[in-house]
Amino acid sequence: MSIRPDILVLIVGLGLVAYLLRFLPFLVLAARPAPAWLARWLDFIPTAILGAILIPTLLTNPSTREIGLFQPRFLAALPCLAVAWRTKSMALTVLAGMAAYWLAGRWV
Amino acid sequence: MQKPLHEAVDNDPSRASPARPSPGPLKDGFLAAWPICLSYLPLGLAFGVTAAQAGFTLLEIGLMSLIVYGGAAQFIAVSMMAGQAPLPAVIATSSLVNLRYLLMSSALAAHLKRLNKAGLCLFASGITDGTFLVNISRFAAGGWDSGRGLAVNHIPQLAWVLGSVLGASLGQAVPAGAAGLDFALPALFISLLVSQAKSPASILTAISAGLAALVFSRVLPGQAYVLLGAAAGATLGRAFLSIGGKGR
Repeated sequence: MSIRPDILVLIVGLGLVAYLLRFLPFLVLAARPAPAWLARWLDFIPTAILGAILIPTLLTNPSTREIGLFQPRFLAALPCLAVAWRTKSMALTVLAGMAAYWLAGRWV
Repeated sequence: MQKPLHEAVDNDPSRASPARPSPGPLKDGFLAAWPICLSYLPLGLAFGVTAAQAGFTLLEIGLMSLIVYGGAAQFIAVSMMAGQAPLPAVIATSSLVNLRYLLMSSALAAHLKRLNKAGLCLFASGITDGTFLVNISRFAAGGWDSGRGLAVNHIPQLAWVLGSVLGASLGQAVPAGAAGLDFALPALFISLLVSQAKSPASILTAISAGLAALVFSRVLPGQAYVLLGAAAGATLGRAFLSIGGKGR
């Protein structure tokens, strides 16, 4: 078990960049809080990121990258959405979604 | 200002009673983060298997998952290394998918004002799509603090590192679609979305960000679509609020 020097450089390089991208906004915004216009825009960022991750995930086939409704992820999302709406429970939503996805995978 | 969540997803300690004794950050963190673990463990296994096949050693794989803690970047890096790409190109290309962390940390910063420098340094190391989305909606709902946030950040990191190391040593991943595990994270995100989509502006934001991301994902390589789609959606939601009215 060992680490090759070039792989160590890779790991440190990747880690450093990933870390700086996560930390620099803290550093900048701790020194000087975001101006009002930016803060108001940032208020929308969590919901926007959620949509930007979720909708392509549900509508795109991971292997072919084709967009379509008739695929397991989108089909599983419908009952999952219904459970989320009715119960407001994270646990039930996750379990229902996994079950629905498993079932959808057997049919589609 | 946008009104964020009115309700926690569930298990929100602040809702039961303000005076209720806290069961502790670790437990609350785990209760909020277990669906992320459910997804990161098999994803880590898959990464471990892929990286081992590409010639990475167990120690390299474990160290990479611990330090980088980002699935997309790690998969890209490993496949480019296997293709003999030059090191600077590998680092630059893999890091592109991480640009979205800039947005996530910027949005989190306002909730971490009471955390000291060392705490901020640690918190930053644990931000991923899943941990960001869970933490930001808990912070917005109230009854959440940076200790619980740290637990949400780093408990899934354990699952990710453990999965990677197991995958590398066993050479055995969870078969695709097994037990619906692939859907744990999307289902978690659906539950977060339902709890956040309260106002017309927030619904418009999510849908427009999603559709913009879908379009960007067709024309741009990699995962730039998340960053650009989110920026487009947030801008539209914000503009809608300015034009549409003073009533939130």
